[in-house]
Amino acid sequence: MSVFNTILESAIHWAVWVCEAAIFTYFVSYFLLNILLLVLSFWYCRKYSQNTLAHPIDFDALSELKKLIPPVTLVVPAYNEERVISHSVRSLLSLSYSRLEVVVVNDGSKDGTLDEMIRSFSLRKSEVRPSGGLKTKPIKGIYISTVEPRVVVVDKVNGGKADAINAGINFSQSPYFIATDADSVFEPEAVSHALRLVLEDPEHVVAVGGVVRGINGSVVDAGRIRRPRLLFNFWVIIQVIEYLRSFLGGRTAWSLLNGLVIVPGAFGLFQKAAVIAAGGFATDTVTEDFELILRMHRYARENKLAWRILIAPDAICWTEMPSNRKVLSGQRKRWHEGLLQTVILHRRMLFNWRYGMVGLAALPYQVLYEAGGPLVEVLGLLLMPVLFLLGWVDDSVFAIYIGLAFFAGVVFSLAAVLIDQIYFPRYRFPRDAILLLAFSLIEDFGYRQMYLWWRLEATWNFFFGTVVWRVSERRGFATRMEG
Amino acid sequence: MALCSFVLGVGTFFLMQVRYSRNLSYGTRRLSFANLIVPPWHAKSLEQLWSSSIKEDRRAIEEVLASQSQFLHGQESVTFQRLVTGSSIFNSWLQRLQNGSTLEKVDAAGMLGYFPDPRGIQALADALRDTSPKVALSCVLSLGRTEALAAVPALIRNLPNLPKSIPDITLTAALAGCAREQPQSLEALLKSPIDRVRILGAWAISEVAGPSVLPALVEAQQDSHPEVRAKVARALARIPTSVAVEALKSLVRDPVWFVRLRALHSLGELRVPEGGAVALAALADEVREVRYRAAYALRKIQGMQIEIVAHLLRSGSKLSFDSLISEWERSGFLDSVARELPEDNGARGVRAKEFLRVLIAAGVTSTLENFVLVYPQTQVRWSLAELLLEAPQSELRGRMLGLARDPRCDSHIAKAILEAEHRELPPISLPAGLD
Repeated sequence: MSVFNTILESAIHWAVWVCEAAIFTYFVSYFLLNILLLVLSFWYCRKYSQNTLAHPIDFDALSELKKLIPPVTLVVPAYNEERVISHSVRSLLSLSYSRLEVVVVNDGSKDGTLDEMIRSFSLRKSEVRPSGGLKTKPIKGIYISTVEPRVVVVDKVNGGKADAINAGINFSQSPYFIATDADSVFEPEAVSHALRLVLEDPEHVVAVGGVVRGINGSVVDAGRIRRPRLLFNFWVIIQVIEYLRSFLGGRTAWSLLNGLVIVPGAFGLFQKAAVIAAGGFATDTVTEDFELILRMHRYARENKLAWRILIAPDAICWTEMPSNRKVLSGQRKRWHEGLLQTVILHRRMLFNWRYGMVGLAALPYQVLYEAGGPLVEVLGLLLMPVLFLLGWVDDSVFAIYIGLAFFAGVVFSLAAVLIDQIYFPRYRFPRDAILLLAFSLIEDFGYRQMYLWWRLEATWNFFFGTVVWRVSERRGFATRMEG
Repeated sequence: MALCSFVLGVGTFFLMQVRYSRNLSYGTRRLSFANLIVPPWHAKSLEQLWSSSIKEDRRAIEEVLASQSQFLHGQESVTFQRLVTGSSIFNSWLQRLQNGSTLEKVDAAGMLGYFPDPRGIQALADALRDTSPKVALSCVLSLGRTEALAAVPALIRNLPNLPKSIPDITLTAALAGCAREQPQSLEALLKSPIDRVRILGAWAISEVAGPSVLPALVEAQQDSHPEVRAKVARALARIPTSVAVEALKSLVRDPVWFVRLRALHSLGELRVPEGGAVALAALADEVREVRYRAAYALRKIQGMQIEIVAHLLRSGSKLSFDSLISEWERSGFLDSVARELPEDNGARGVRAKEFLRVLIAAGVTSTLENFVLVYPQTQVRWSLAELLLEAPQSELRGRMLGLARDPRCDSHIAKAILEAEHRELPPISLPAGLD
């Protein structure tokens, strides 16, 4: 019996040690990696914001440049966007980029999206045929505007956002296109800023992601952001911080390392030929933007192409963020399910030197810290306090754990807010800055744990339940005024 | 830990505050300098302001000078340019560009671009050879900004050695901007043994080409690099002569698709009748983009002639027809045909009707059906409905009934459609035993 007890005891000790080591390694490595990413992001943003040195394409300096720029198509998939679609298209047409075409894809809307477009832009049916060969759901009709030649509307059977973008690509006439959402508002120079990175190295740069910011609370007039302002809403401010951390504190660094795996669905500039070569947007995934970028990396590596995918931190697009827990949790669960789906789909790239930085670092980061993170973090939250109370964990180890689990996020958030305020300030100082800083301090206490729970739930649904497409409810920004 | 976070938060806010205050104070000082540097300008007071300012203020003054130089016109601009180029500020830029640190050189080069002056252009030309790519870039941008012909030789001379980090589009814009008055000054680039230089040269020429560069372009149409040939085709669009048209006609037969595409586009831009047959033939090209461009050229050269479409419908391939109709429809082709329909248009109306019959017989009806509902002129809606009802296709009949039920359909047209359908319905024969 005593032998059995001894074996059991050592087995428990061994198991505890393994868990403790795993949790500790996870948090320490996560912290160090993110610190490294932050340092790189700071460096990149600093370099990027030094105008003359950073940008060999200066539209202000050379008037001839404006004649040499290529045309760009904005592909706007629209599903039940009756309330925002015409304002959104007008806003896109008013961008400072001179060679724009807007292709709106009505993806089988059940509301009056198409009628609204027909009314607002005097559309009429047309015999225009697709010029691209991506497979999509059947096209019901093509409409061209009799008052605005830059607008084309594709009316098709519902097939999801990816299918709608593919249809838009088929009807675009430009070598570059931007995939965006109907409820997004671009800053006037956003397209020029994103395209600048392509033109600096047109042979290699095949995609550029913009930066997404929350429009909630801002004053929007005639489809333009007149005064960016934070809405005093817990969920919105928390998301703004998350976006800043993700875009300015992480993706900029991955962009520098050519390991960027996510280009936002609201603002992604792509070389059309490259996307078509890679097979277009996949219609059977939940996060089509993430999946496409991974597939483009994969395609490039397998075909020995030196493609680069970058982020333009000053190419800014404003979009409506979920302002309540229910919608936000749905969105986050969908993202997490998409993440799991996509990394499983491209598991071959994992830790595979053939896929360079993406295979060796960016994708493993997504798997270990984004997909697997919730499991380890929840295990830590449940196990570490118990072990500490049982005296099985050193005080110093527990203190480091608490520090990393609850305060590392604070450091990352503060740093991201600082990068934003120094290099690409948009929110007002001091009100918005104080709000961002204050919420950065409290984000790790409550929200982070809630987010972990959502991701765990999504993991469970993915492996044992059903993946469902959750649609966000749009309030519409067109009529929002100050106050 | 909580205290630590709080301190971090306050520290971050302090950093922001410092940054914000600095920006605010710089902006204020810049504004005050902008208020001081106003017409009528005095050289002495400008010199005094400059010499008595600290380094950061000098930067603000430079920014004010640069922004003012962009908004002044006519005599005011000349006076202001003379004031600055004759001042010690200008000399300090020249000195900094020669002897400063990399950052100082970049800034000085940037400022010299706002004030075109032979001394400045010479200094920028010399600095193109600087070992730092940032300085070279700044010099290229500034030389381009000056748009001075005197900058062209230096740019041409240094082009092969300029850093690869300077994008082609920037170099092209700089070259084109400077050579606008004398495009032939760029001809030498077309003879370079380096591909990139020839491509840049052809691209820049394509922005500014005139008859003076025609012989060089005709020679360059045989270039071994397709990019050069494509740019040559682009350039020829600016020279409306028979020699250019012949060169373009030969480039339309190029083995590389984007050269053919460019040549067709240029033929369309030139709008010469000789290009019509070439463009019509190119509608059968194997590359979709080339076919679209051929349709564009045809539209530009001959207008959207219904005979061409009818001809393609009868004898051409589906791909050619699709390319043509797609391109023309973006310019409102069917709209323009429908406009001809009313009876009072006489022969034109008859011709349009005949053409639409051919189109309907070929099954191209979706737009016309839509026109029956939404076309602004009632007479056109009537004529279209009649034409569609004449068609023998049974599936079209079904769709016409759908149109009649559409709330947007004119009640008279709807009635006519329903009546027409009833007229032609086969007599109902009841099954035996039921009568």
